[in-house]
Amino acid sequence: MKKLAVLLLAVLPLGAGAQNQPKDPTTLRGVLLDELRSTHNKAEWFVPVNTAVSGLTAEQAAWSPGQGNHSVGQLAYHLWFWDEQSLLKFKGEKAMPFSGNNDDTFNNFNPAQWDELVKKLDATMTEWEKAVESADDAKLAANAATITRISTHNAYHIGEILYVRKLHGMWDSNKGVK
Amino acid sequence: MRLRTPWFALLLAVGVLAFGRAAQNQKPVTFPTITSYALDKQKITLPGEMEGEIDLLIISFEPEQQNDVNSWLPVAQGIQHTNFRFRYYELPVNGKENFVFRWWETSSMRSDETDPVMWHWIVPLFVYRQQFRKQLDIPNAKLVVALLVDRQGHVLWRASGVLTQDKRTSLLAAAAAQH
Repeated sequence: MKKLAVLLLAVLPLGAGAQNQPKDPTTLRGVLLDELRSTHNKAEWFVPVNTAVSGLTAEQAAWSPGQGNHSVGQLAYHLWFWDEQSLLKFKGEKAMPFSGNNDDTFNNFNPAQWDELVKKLDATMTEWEKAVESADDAKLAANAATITRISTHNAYHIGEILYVRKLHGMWDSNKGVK
Repeated sequence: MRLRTPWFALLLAVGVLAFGRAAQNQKPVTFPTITSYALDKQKITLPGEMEGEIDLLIISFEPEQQNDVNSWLPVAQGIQHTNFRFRYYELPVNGKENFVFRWWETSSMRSDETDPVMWHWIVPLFVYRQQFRKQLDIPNAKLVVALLVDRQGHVLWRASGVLTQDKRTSLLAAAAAQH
């Protein structure tokens, strides 16, 4: 009996731990939100964009490794531009002017507006999550392929941002990605 | 109607020939089935195995045309960000050559394109160039050619030479029409 009690005491914390584990989403809406949040502000096994762009001055954000590679600021501007553009389309609103030249979505970054850009990127991602939360099922299904690719696109460029920061010696590995 | 001068008859003949040629140009052009290897050494059969439902194929015939090829990339990348079923490939066209030449040529291209991510999207073709151009109604090898093609090989839109504002607008409209 004493042994059983000890065994139960040993097992109970494991059970409680399992209950506290966040559940994997089981719906399309849940999966899409999970993906968006993981690239926005919810750290998974990689770093979300809020962390990736935090703690930089405008000058540091404008630093480029050269050879045509983009700066953190340019990468962040590119992400904001496409995330915002696709959000406007999802909401049925008028798109921002676009020349058709993807280079503009990097080169239009203005270091003087770096702090504002960081806020805009966060706001756009927040708006995306709200839009997915409130969209009806049919609209969500029709746009699911686009939304999931927004997340993979975010993740791709977040990787680039971290790489540039590491090259620049401006990344604290305690924030993730050693 | 009586033909008063030989000049008039000549003009009429030229007109008929020109009309015939124009009609010929309007016939649908289909990209031929060609198996090759991308610079990342992945085998691909064009156009059936292209990764986009519609794809922009940027065809060049000489290494010196790379700058003209590059002029098309930003608009292609722009479309790729709005239409996830769109991809683009660079197709440098060479003649039918032996294995050693092909190896040398592709190795050289890999050293020119230092971003390995891009290698998947560069597919050197080793074909009978004249026959290839004829199949695609490309008059000569002096200019790069951009073709918007579906997986059945139907050429939906085309332009040649360096990208201009007009060509960009026209391509964006053609790609949007397929979206």
